[in-house]
Amino acid sequence: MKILIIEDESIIARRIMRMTKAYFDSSLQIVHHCDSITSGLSYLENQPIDLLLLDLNLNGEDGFDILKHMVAQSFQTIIISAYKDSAITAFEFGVMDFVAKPFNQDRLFQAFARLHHNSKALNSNLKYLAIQKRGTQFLVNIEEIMFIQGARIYTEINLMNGSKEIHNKSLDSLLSLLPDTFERIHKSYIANMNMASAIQIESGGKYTLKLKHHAQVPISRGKYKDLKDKWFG
Amino acid sequence: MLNQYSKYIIFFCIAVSIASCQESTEIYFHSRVFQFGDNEEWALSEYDDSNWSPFAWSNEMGIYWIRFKIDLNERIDQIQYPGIHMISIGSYEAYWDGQLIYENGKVGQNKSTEIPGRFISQIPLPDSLLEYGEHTLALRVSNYHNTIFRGSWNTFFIEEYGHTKSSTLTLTALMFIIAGMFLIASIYYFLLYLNQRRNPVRLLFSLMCLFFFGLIFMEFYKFIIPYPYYFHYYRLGIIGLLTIATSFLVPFFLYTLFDFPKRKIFGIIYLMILVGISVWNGIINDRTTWLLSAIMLIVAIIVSSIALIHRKSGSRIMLLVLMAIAIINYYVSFQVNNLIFNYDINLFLSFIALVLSILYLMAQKSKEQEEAYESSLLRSARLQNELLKKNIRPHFIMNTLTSIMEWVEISPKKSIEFIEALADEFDILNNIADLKLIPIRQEIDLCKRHLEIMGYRKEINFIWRDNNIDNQETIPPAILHTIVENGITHNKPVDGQIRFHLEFDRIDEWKVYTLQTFGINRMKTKITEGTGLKYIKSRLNESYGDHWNLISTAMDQGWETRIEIKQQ
Repeated sequence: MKILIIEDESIIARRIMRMTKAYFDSSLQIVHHCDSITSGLSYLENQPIDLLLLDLNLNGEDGFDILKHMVAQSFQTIIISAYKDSAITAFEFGVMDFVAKPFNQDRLFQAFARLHHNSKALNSNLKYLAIQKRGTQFLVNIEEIMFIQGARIYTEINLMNGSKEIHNKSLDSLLSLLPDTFERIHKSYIANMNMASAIQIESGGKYTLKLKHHAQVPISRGKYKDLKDKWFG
Repeated sequence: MLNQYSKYIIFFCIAVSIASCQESTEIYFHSRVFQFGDNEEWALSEYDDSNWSPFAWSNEMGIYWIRFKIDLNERIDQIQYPGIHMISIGSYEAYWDGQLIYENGKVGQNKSTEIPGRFISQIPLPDSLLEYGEHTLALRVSNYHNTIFRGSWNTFFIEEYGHTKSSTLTLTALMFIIAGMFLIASIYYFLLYLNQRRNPVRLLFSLMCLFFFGLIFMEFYKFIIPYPYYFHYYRLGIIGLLTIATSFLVPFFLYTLFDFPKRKIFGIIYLMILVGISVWNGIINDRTTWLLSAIMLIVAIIVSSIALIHRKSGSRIMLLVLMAIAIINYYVSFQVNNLIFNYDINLFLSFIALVLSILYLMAQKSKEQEEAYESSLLRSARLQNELLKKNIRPHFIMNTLTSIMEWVEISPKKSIEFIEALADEFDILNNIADLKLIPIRQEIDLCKRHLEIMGYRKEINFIWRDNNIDNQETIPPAILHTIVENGITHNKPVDGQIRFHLEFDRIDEWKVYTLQTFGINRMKTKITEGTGLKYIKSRLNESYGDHWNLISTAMDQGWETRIEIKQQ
């Protein structure tokens, strides 16, 4: 596990670091602290990480531009901030958790735990996926997503208008952010069940999920029964 | 509002013009001769007065005679009840063709035996005395009561008996309504002035209205109260003085209203010019009155024009009204043969226009003042609120509390010191929250406490130094504190240190605080105007108006902020 902490208060950074070390223990490969966004960004250019712990209001800079940039990346982001009111927006943009200051060890551990368990309780607020394209980020409304196809370390987001956008996060990472209407229907597919119209059974035990706009996505045999009970029962 | 004024003025003009334009027959004498002394025979029509003086004027006190010759023809038949309208500076006996027809007062040999008669008297003439042809009116006059202003004269004409009285009554009534309006305005604004003595505009306006009232009253007094002849010159004297006063006050008032500098110098010079002209021409002189009114109007127009150039509020309306007055008075009225009204009525109508427009301007101005006052109250409340919010803003308090948690868990002893420093800063903020200015030492203490807290939070060694501080000085609360906050946010430490250095200087009439922050500037771009700077500027505005400068510049090793305050 590689972790970056961006936090301008040195005592608080030290606290986060202490707790991070305690939680991840031996699985922790690297934990690095940067005291500003600028130094954080330059660190990220060369060093791949799995988790970013970000203080959203850093030196008065507009945190959301930074946030958009961060959530478009492959790593997961946990915000640690004094501004509770920005929590909802942060979730809308696709952060894994929002830890309000002041925080204790239990609360931080709870956020860390979400890396392992795919509990989605907190993520019903996600509204956009930030996508990085040609060096800039733009936001895709998740209601416009038909399905998502995994392609090794990245994913292809298939939109209603037929276009495909590449996202840097893995299918697993995205699934832990997306709300309940998004189902993992196949090893390589997540479907937006709001778009689903029917399940088609083809010869040879092949199952296909029919979506709006004539799109269709394969369903793995193991998922079929649960899916049918839950959405078409 | 203006529309209503103009309606009122038009109505009034019509009323006055109707009252003053009635046709009437007046028959004047054709010769007048004068002789100082006393002789019963001088009453007789056949007396030969060919060697008498045609200059019918007495500068001496005593008894004199005046003999008028008047021709009566068919014009006298146009008058139903003929009567003499006599104007006299002196008590007199009137002889019509040698027959005593009237006594005005009692002619005497000295001041104690003379009973003063009226200035204006109406004498009925019976038809028996009015044959066609030449008649003699001889007056035996004594003027012992005309003591201060010498100069005694008499004149008359024949008209409808009592005509002057009835025709001027309407006009006089209207003029007295106006006079009453001025009096009420004068009293009202004087009371307003008593409530707020700092505002000389109200006092000046009150005086101006009082003088307008006085002028109208003295001018039209003659028509309703028959006063004794010796009072005539007093009345003219009072009118002369009131004319000087109004000619002075109108431009001086505008000068004050438009808030021009060096009011006293302007006032003294202008008053001296007016007094000079009056003394040179004589106070009891129609020419003086005319000249003073013209000067008043010209100077008022000049003052309003300068006000317009300086874009003072209300100057446009004032200038328009004054120009209208000038055009009506000195062009339309005089050029077109006094077509509209006579000089007095023009003048008083001008006063109305002037007072109404000034009332409008003052209402406007007090509205502006009220708004400014309310917004200043609002601003103070907002600034107080902002100051109190400083330490409960999440960025400060939540980060501080998180740091305290860490210290409690890691080093309880240090956490206690931290909490004490926090308590100290809260204590100071609490003490200064309601104040607009606080002692400079208190502000410095606040900065030091803040640096202490930030030291515990950031593990940076913040160093405060100050030099040449005058402990008697005051400063708006939390403005240095705000600069220090910015300094902490925008600078990286050098060798684990950020230093702050406050220096106080007096340069000429300026008090200068220079606060230098030594560190490495985090921001590549220039710092834009954040809420912090706005707070500082609002606070400086609140306490010093426009008399301050705030200069913020980058230095080699950090940042420098200069606050310059002009001493008042």
